[in-house]
Amino acid sequence: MQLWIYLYFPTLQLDALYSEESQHPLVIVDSKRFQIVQCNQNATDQGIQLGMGLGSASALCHQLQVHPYDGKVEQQTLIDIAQWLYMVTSDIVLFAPQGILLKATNMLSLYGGLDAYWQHVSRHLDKLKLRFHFATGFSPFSAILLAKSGSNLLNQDKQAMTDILSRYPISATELDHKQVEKLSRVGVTHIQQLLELPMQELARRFDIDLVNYVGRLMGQFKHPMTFYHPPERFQSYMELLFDIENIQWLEKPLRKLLDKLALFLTLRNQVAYELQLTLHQRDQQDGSIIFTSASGDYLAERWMKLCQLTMESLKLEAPVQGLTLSLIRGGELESTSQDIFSGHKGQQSELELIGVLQAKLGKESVRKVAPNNDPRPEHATTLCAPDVPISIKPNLSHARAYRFRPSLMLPKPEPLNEKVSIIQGPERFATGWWDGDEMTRDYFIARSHSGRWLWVFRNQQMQWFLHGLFS
Amino acid sequence: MYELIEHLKQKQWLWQGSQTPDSQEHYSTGYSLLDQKLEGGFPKHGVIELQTPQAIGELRLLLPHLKQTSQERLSVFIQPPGYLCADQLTAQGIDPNKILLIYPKSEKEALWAAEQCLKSGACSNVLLWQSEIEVHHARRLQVASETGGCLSFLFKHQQKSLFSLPVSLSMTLLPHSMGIEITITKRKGGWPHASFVLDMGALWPTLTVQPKDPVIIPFPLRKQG
Repeated sequence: MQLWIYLYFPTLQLDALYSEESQHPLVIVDSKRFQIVQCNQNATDQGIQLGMGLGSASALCHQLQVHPYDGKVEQQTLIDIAQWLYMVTSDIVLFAPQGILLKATNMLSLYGGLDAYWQHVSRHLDKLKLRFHFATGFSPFSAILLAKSGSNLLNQDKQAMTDILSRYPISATELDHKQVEKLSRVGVTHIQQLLELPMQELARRFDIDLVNYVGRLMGQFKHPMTFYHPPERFQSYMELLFDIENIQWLEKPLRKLLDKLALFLTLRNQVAYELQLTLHQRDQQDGSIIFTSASGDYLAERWMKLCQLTMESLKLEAPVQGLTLSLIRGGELESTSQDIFSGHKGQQSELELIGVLQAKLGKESVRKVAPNNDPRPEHATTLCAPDVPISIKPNLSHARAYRFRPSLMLPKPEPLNEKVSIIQGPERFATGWWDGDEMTRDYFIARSHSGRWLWVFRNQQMQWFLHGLFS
Repeated sequence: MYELIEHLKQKQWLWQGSQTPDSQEHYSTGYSLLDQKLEGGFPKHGVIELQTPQAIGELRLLLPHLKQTSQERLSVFIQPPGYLCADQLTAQGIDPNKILLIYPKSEKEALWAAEQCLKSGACSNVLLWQSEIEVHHARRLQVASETGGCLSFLFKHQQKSLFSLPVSLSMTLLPHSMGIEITITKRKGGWPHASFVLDMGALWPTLTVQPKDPVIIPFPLRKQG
């Protein structure tokens, strides 16, 4: 016998979105039939019941807050729950919109019995603060039936479970309305009666769906299902309860998303280098913010700090309704253990520092200099991204060692407007024919009358420019 | 009055000239004359203020020190007037991987970046070009540099400031044909010295003007009388 556990979340959308507003009576309304499908405890206390029309509900309670039912939200929440449960149990099946089925058989030997297993799962699930019903079953359908009726039963005895099961009416099953009607016309109203009928008779008088259902309910037929696999890429959407216009207020919801990211990365022993936050704005195109970490991080606190620094310099154009956090670039976690007996020990590594600086000042403001194999002074040094290691060819550094260059170069040559006396030179550059940026210049080392050491050049038109400082 | 002085001395807020300063650890500057004047060299942490005109050799003064200390940790240049020449760095034996250049958009961001670098523990030197700096800024940099065990150099234009900044060492540099003329205006636990000329001819022969040999015209013997 296989053992299954079904988790039924009757108020999934309500719990997922509005759990913090429990002091107000809240209902979720089906937007087609205007019937109440979910309500919180406060609403029930006011006399509101499921299936009630919106009109009579609002007559009962004046402060009633009404939200439309959204299947997508429940679907997404269900996936999130599955991802969360995947940490403690392996075989998970999603039953949209409000259920999750766990295959307990394989996990019993790991946890040492059903009680210990269930204790583990339920404690893990309680952290999400969702209301749910559960039940065990010897087949998926039996577990669904028992859980949906709110029985909260944990049992491993098949006979006992069958006894409980047979007392339920046909209308509690997953059969559609038509078949329930058909069965009641021939006087079958309870599962007991249905099970007493021989299978051949059922097949002769009713259609194949009913036969399949009964076979699967009793565990005689195989029930094919697809198990949940956690996604390879991280992407998480969060709907905000109200529009946010101040970017600093995004920090709290963002923190929740980062916690999810941390979980995703920890399970895979990975780090993230680049994240994208998409802001879903009202009446505007979606905006996006890129967060980067040069060293690669998985901890939510570290990412939070980087995100805060990046967001400090931004302003929102329109109110934000929702956030999507996605992982753009990640990698394996590399251990950066240093020898504790040698050298300095700081709180941050070089790459962590670079990540913080880039987050606050922008990526272009933090640079490194790399030698470039080009004789032209403007191109001899490139300013490159600081997280890329620069390789120095030993022969290159030897060949260039004899050339005497200023320690500081100006980004652009400036017209020379002070009196200088030439100390050394000229050094002629007549090169650059290959990319159209040709130059013919004579460079001199000069000393100004105020004692400054300058690198100046004269072009073909006999104009003098200042290009470097021997600081 | 005496009690008050005792109290201040106990809190180590008052320093008396008769006390010999504790010999701290120092980094050698690479110039023996400067080492001698500074009684060992640059301190291991703290802010060093350099009041100097540009391009007289102020960075070359620090290059031996940078080469010596940039092996393990970063040296960060914050808003320098230009960019460093990579060829010159490698020729000096400094690994460009250990050099970071930061160009902030405002003076405030420059100070923020300097403080972050100083206290991170990942840097050995932070060189900041900034003219407007106030006492509380300098104090924060000083504290941060002690946290991270990092030395901070502050390049300023020469100006007659009304008050001195709370820094470990303050030097005024002036151009000189042989190298640099240095005046140590303030040194923690030391006396001010007269200015002296640091000869850089040995390291930078191209960038010094050697004095011409004095032309000696012998006084004619006949007229000696």
